[in-house]
Amino acid sequence: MLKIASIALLLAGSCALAAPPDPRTLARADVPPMPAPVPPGGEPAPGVLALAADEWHVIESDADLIVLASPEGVVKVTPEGAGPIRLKGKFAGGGGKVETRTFKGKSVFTVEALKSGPVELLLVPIGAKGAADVKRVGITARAQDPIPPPKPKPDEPVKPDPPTPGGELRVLFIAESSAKHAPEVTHTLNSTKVAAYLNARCAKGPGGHPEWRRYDPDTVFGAKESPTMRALFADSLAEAKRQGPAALVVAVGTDARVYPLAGMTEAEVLDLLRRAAGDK
Amino acid sequence: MFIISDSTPERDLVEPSGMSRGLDLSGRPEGFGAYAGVAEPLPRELVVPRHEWQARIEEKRQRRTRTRDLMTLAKLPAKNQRSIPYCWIFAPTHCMEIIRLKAGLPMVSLSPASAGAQIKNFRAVGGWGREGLEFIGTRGVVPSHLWPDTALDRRYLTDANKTVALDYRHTEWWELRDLDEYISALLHGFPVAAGYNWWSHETTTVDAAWIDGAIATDNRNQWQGYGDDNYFHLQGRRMLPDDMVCPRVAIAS
Repeated sequence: MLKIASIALLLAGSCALAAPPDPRTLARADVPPMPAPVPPGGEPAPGVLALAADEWHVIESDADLIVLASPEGVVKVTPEGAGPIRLKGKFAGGGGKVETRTFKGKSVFTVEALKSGPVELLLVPIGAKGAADVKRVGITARAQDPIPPPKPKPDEPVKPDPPTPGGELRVLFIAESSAKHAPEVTHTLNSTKVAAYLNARCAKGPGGHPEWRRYDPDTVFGAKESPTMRALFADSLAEAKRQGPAALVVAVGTDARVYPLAGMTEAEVLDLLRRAAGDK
Repeated sequence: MFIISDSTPERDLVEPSGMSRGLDLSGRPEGFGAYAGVAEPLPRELVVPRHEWQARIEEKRQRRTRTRDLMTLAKLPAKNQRSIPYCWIFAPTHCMEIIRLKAGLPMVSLSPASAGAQIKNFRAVGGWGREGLEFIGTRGVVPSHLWPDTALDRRYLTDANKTVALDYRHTEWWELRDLDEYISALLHGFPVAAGYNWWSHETTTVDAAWIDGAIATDNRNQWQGYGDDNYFHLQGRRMLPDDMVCPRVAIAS
C-alpha cells in the first residue's frame, strides 16, 4: 500500500564505532528547539514540525540512533534500517504533493502521527555521553480524528393522522375511571384548554350542547343523551378498549378514528383536534 | 383566600344568617371514618405518594387542569342550602353536577331536596354524605327546575319526577378511608362530599391545595356569600373529614 510520507528530517553524523559521533554532524538540518506545546487544533509554534495524518517524517542519520518519542502514543517511530530506502508519498512540509525520495543514511526512521497532539522526538546516538548529545525535535501531530459514529436521530414523533377535515367534529374520551392513568393523560382528561376548544368547535347536539364527552367504558345511557354520541360510543368502544385504559375518538362526519391517549401530550391532542377540525 | 385552619376562631365557623348545617353522624352504623363497605374503596394503586403531592398540585394549578378550573370555565353556580339542615345531601348533589360537567354532559342544576326529603321522610333533619350518595346511586336526583333545591314538599314526588331522576344517578363511586385516599382522589380529578364532625357540616371538596408548605383542600360551601364564590380552604387537623364519598361516573343523559 502506498504510504504517504513526509519531508525527511535529515541528520548527519559520522560513523565511528569507538568514539562518540560528533554532535555537530548529527543533524543535517537545523533542529529547532522544543517549543511550547500547541493546543489541539492550533497552529504549531514556530520551529515545530507539523505532521499530518497522511504524511511521514523521515529521520535519516549517518550515526546509529535510538529514536524515542515523548509522550508515547502520539506518533509511531519505525526503524527502516539502513539506506538507501526509497519512499513514495507525502512528506511533512511538502505541500501535499506525492513525491519519491531516497534516503541513504545509515539509520532511517519513519515517523507517523497516531493521534493529534505535541510530541518531542529524542534522537539519542549510540554511545552518547550526556544530555548534550541528545537532539530534540518538536512535532505537532494531527492525526485523522476518528469519524464519530452517527448520532442517532431522535425518534421523530409520528403525528397521528386525523380524520379528513370538512365535516362536523365530534369527540369522545373513553377512559376507565378507576385506572391509574399516566399523569399526562389525567391532565388531558381534565384539560380546560381541550374543553374550551371542543366547546367552540364541536357540532351542536340536542339543546345546542357541544357534542364531545368523556365516558367511562361502562357508561350507562339515559333517555336524554344525544343519539349520535351514544352511537359513536357504541361503534368505537371495542377499538377504544384495545387501545388501552384511555382512548380518544375523533369523528369528522362519518369518518371516526380511535387513538390511544397514553403517549400523547395535551398539546398533541389539541394539535390532532385542530387538524381534524381543519383549523391547521 | 379564606382558610380554615386549627387556629380559626369559632366565630368564623358559624353559618351566616339564614343558613344551616346538618351533618349528623350519630346514626351512621359504621361510626366515624370507618369504611362501610357500601361502595368500592379507592384502589391502592391510585394512592399518590405524599412526596408527590406538592409537585402534582402545583402542576395542575399551572396547567389549569384542576376541577375548580373546569367549574370556573363552565361557570357552574354554587348551591344554596338556605335554612334547611341538608348540607349532607347538598354536597353529594353538587358532586353529581361536577362529574356531569367533567363528562361533557349538559349542565343541569340538581335538587338536593329531591333526594334528601325522600331519605328523611320530608323532615328537616341531619344526615351524612354516604347515605345521601347511596340513595342517589339507586334513585337519582330530580333537576331543580322540576323540584326546587330546598323544597321539602311531597307534591314534587310524582311518578314523572321519579322517572326523570333515574337519568341523574351515578353508577360508580368510592368511599374514602384516610387522608392519602382523600388527597389521591382529588389529584385524580374527582370531587368529594366531605363531612366534618367538628363542624357538623358537609361541603364539596374540589381539589387538593398546597398552602404555606402544607397540604390543604379547596372546598365549596353551599352557604350563599361564603368565601370566594363559596370557595374556601381547609388545612390542619380540621381538614380531614369524618365522612368522605366520591362519585366518579354519572349516567350519560
